[in-house]
Formats: sequence, structure tokens, C-alpha cells
Amino acid sequence: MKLYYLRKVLGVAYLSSRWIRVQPMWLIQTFLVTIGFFVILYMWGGRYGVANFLVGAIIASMWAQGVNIVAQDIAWYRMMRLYDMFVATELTPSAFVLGVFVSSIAFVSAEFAAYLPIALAFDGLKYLVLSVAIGLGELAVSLLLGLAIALRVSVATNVSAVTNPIASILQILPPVFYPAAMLPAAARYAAMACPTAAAAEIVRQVAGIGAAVPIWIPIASLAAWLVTGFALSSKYMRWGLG
Amino acid sequence: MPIAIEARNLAKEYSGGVWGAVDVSFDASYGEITVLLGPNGAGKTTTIGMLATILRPTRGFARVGSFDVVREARQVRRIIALCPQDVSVDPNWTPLEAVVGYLSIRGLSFSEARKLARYWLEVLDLWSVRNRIARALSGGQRKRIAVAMVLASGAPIVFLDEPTVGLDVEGRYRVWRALREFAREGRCIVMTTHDMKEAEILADRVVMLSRGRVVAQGSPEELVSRYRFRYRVIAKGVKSVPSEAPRVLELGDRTIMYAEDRETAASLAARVAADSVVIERTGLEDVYLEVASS
Repeated sequence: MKLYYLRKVLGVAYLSSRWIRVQPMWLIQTFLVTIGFFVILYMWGGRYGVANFLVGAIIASMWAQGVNIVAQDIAWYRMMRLYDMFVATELTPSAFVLGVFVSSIAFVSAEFAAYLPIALAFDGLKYLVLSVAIGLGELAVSLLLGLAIALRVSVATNVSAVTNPIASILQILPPVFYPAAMLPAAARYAAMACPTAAAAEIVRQVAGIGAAVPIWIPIASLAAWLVTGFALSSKYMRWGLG
Repeated sequence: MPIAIEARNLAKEYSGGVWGAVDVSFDASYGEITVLLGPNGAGKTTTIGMLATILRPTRGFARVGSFDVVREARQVRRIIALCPQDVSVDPNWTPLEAVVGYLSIRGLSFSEARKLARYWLEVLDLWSVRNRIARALSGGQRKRIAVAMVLASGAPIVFLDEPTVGLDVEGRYRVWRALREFAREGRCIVMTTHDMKEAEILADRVVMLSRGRVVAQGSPEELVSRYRFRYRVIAKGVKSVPSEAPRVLELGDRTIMYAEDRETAASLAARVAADSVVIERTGLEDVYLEVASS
């Protein structure tokens, strides 16, 4: 039974990842952009900049993976009418979403190909590990929101117009690549409403590179986002019989 | 042949009060091709959508392979395959990847999937281009990839929504041959078309739809034999039409006159003032025009 489920997941991942073979430049571009960000933060902040780069970049990429990459893949299947074709099979919604998610790991792998040597060279392995561990909660939020958007937006071609700004603004604007402690006191609390900033703040506090607000605030924020994401995706997840 | 699909009074209302189907009832059997025939907006795609568990019927019920399409949708999905209207395979997939990937998501092992993919890609004349990405293939070849995906599934019940639209003559015949072979193995095919000739050649059973309702059904031969006019006279460059012609269709400078028998048709042809005249047997198209208008 498990093997049968796994085959379905891998089948979706296989189909979803074919474009990578055809267009590998995306992965090279992702790798080089990651290196570029590292250089910028290192030049400005030295080792402290590298620590914040690792936290910010990993949190940001995990956010983009769900709300942007997975959502756009699902929207693509809707656009090509392959979504309906897949619904009318033994495939389950969970195997479908998991398969699309697995295929999107290629992107993150290209980024981690840059993070890992940087973390090793700058004694930043603990930032990498903590960011991944805590980022899993944020990744779940972004997956659930991405799913809700991909299935809620009635014209599938418009999905990226919604997910792109959500992904990029929440990566760049709130304190993700920089510590929330740099903001005025009131703004620090407001920033914790963003799931990306909340996740980055938890990592920074656990890793001991600064604390801007009591830790329960970002934890509560992330938990609230999880509940919201779950409620929205449950509401909009339609697997046929629409 | 045992019944594969039972649809009773199916109706679907979309948001905004638009009815995609109003009253659709028919049976489809294993080992046969049932063709839903009708013009655009007749309710063919909506009916397929309800049977394939994509759309929830507003009224009525349907059983697919003895399972209720609403209450037992999961069981239905295990025994069906759907080729939606306007489906496009990903331009980055090759024909082989598309079929193998689709069969994998249905739970088949890679080696089983490859074996089946080879067979159906050969049947549909795609094996020679199996490793070429879809972007580099013709529109007709891309359409045939989608058909190959569905047929390779070996599902006992298959739905194809306009599978031959956009195909050239040769491609269309390949798909027809593949569908007949698939049905001969005891499987049920329900497909839609608005091409009357295709329905005449391919169908074991035709369900004619008009404005969301079934207006006639039966085998093509039955439907044509029930029609009182057996012949039609097509006249080009018409100057005057004999007044005794029982049914006349005016098409600009062409006119179609219907006759119950060959003698009447010959008599009409002799008396019509026109540049050229052809006598033909009537077909599904003529039946459809009559039942849809009435």
C-alpha cells in the first residue's frame, strides 16, 4: 500500500520536474543569486552578516517554495487541464500535493548547494540546521496558503500574479534578512504578524543572535498562520465534484 | 453487453444560473463506444464532467461501474480515465515521459508503465518521436499523446472529450482505430464530438444532445432508420425548388431537399432548376437537424 502511494507521489514528481531537465539554467541562476546575496551581506556585515544571510535566505526560500513554486505548479496543471485528468484517477490530493512539493525540492537543492559550503566555511552550520528545522513550520504555512490560492483564483493564469508579490514582499520587506531588533519597538511587534519574520525571529533567538520580542509572540504568530492556512486550504481544496 | 454507465436525469447548474445540462439520461455498455453528439453548448462536456466526478450534479444521479458518482467518487476514479477537452500535455514532456508519468501516478511500476507506453505510442504512431519534447511536435501529435495516456491506463471506463478535434485525416483514423481496439477488449468508451461523420463511423451508440437535453439515442443505424427521409438532394446554383419537396433547407445558393424514397429523390432532382444536383443517403446529421429543431 505504501509502495503504491509512493509510486503516485513519484509519478507526480517525475512529471512536475521535467522542465528542470529542459531548462537547467533556472537552477544555475538560483545558485548564483544565492551566492550574490551572500556576498552582499558578508561585505556589509562580515561574519554577523553571514549568520543573518543564512537565517534569512533559508527562511525566505522555504517561504517561496510553498506559496510560489508549488502554487504555480498546481496552477499550471489547472491551466493545461491536466488537473482534471489527474483527478479522474486513483491519485489522492495528498499524493498530488506531495509530488508537486517533492519536485520543487530541486530549486531548494540549488540554494542549499550554496548554503552548505558557506555554512561550513563560516562556522554557521547551527544557523543552517535551526533555520531548516524551524522553517518547516513556515514551509507548512506557505504550502497551505499556496494551495488555497492556486485553487481559489478562478482564472489559473492569474495565480502567479497573486503568489509572486506575496512571496517576494514577505521575503524582502519584513525582518527576514535583517534582525527585527533593528526596527523601532512598535514595528518589531507589527512585523511578527508576517510568518517569514516570525520564523526568522525564532531562529535568531534560538541561535543566540539577538531577540527583538518575547519568543512566544513569533511562535503564536506562526501557530495562528498554520491554523489560518489549514482553514483556507481545507475550504478551497477541491478534488473534483466542483 | 453489461451496462457500465447509468445516467438518470442528470442536470448541472453553474454559478449565475447557467445550466450546462438540463436532463441527461442514457446507458453505456462495456465493449462499446458511446458517442455524445451535439453542437457547442449542448451539454456534452458537462455530462462527461459529471460522470468523471469532476462536476457535482445539481439533480439526477449516475452510476459508473456500479458506483454512485457522488457518494462513491473514489471508487469511480479507480476505474475511469479522462481525456478532457482542450487538454494540453506539458510542452517539456516527451510522449514517453507523459505516458509513463501518467501511469505512475495511477500506481503502476516504471517497467509496467514503459511496456504499456510503448504499445500505445506505437498504435498512435508516436513511438518514433517518443523522446522529442512536446513543444517540438505538431498539435495533432500532442493531442494524440493525451489519448495515448488515457488508453494506456487500461481503465475499464474511459471518457474522451472531443479527442479528434484538430487532428488531420490520418491522425483521426489512427485514433479511431485505437479506440475501436480499446473497446473491442471489453472496455467502455464514452466520447463527445460534434462531427456527425465521426459518430456514424465510430459509435455503437449515439446520444444526441441539444440545449442540455437528450433528444434522441440509439445506434447510428437505428437513428437513421427511424428518420422518415432516407434521401437528400443537394442542389447548387438553385433557381427554383419543386413545390412538392416535403422538407427543404435553404443554404444560400445551395438547397437540400429531403425525400422518403429514391424515386421521389430522383423526381425532385429531375425537376429542380439548378447548376448541379447530387442525391445522397441521409445520415446522422440530417437526423440531428430534425430532432434538435423539433
